[in-house]
Amino acid sequence: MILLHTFNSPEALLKFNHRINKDDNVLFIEDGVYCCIDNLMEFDCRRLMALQQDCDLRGIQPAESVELIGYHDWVQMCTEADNHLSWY
Amino acid sequence: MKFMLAVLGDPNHCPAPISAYRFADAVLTAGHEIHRVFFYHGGVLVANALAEPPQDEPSIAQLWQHFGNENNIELVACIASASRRGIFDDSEAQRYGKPASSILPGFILGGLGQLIEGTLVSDRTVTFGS
Amino acid sequence: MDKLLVLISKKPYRSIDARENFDVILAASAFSQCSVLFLGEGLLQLLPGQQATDSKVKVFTRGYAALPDYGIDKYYCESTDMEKWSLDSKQLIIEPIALSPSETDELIRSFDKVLNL
Repeated sequence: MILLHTFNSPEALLKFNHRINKDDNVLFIEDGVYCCIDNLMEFDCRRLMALQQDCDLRGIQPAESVELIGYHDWVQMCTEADNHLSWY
Repeated sequence: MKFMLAVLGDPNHCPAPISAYRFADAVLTAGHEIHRVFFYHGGVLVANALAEPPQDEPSIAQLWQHFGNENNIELVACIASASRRGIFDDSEAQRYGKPASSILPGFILGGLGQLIEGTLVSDRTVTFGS
Repeated sequence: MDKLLVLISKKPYRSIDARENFDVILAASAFSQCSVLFLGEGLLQLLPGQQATDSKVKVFTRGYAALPDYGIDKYYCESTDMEKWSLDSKQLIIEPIALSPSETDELIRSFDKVLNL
């Protein structure tokens, strides 16, 4: 099963990053985009993404490994994954 | 695909209601269906008719109200969560002897059964919390 | 009957959310075959001996002892959380089945419907 995980804060990632499997997709939203600053992430996943709007609002330039996406892409990812888990 | 959305965060406390609104809009734009939007925990405060943001700030309550109305989507605030936080419709206000109802038109009060039912019948349930 | 997994991941008294999520479990049990996974800090809701000496706060967690009465007989936790807080499952309000991290992953992925509130 492939999951789409969303994390809305660095605290959420700290608490639940071990739930991510290497085949899963990860999306940072809201304050979770602060995780996209280089060197703060140590897990394997298939696609690592951040919501562009939330990065822009917070002045975050994400690390190169992070794909910036919009809400339309988030919806698309929901339909492609087998399930969606929000972590707070 | 049929989506069920749950908005769990107080709009003054976290961005969850705004994220959920943008997501909901994208769901419909992509041609999918939203079965219901359920407001729980502090999310019920989105339905607070008595809140008034400053003139230069958008009203997340009105955004949701308009969204529900334009797209014929049920916006349900959990009745128990709502009571705790001072959100009453006419019937509940009378029942508890409150001076007025406080729920924004376009939102209705409902039970947790509607959250569970929505989750069971939808293809995806996406929750927005703090 | 549909299967639903409810994740309990919050400390019990930081906000009213934990109390309200307990209500979700009870509601879910009426509509589905509900299982509960106590994740991370959620396991702290099961600590024994919780009491409000001045009765100003409701100790809602005692209600977990009644989960079997609601037809909920599958509740789990992660063994690493038990170790982290040096917990003995027999002393908790209810005794969840302790799963390894990979078993926990498998459990979560075995459900089509998962609610994390």
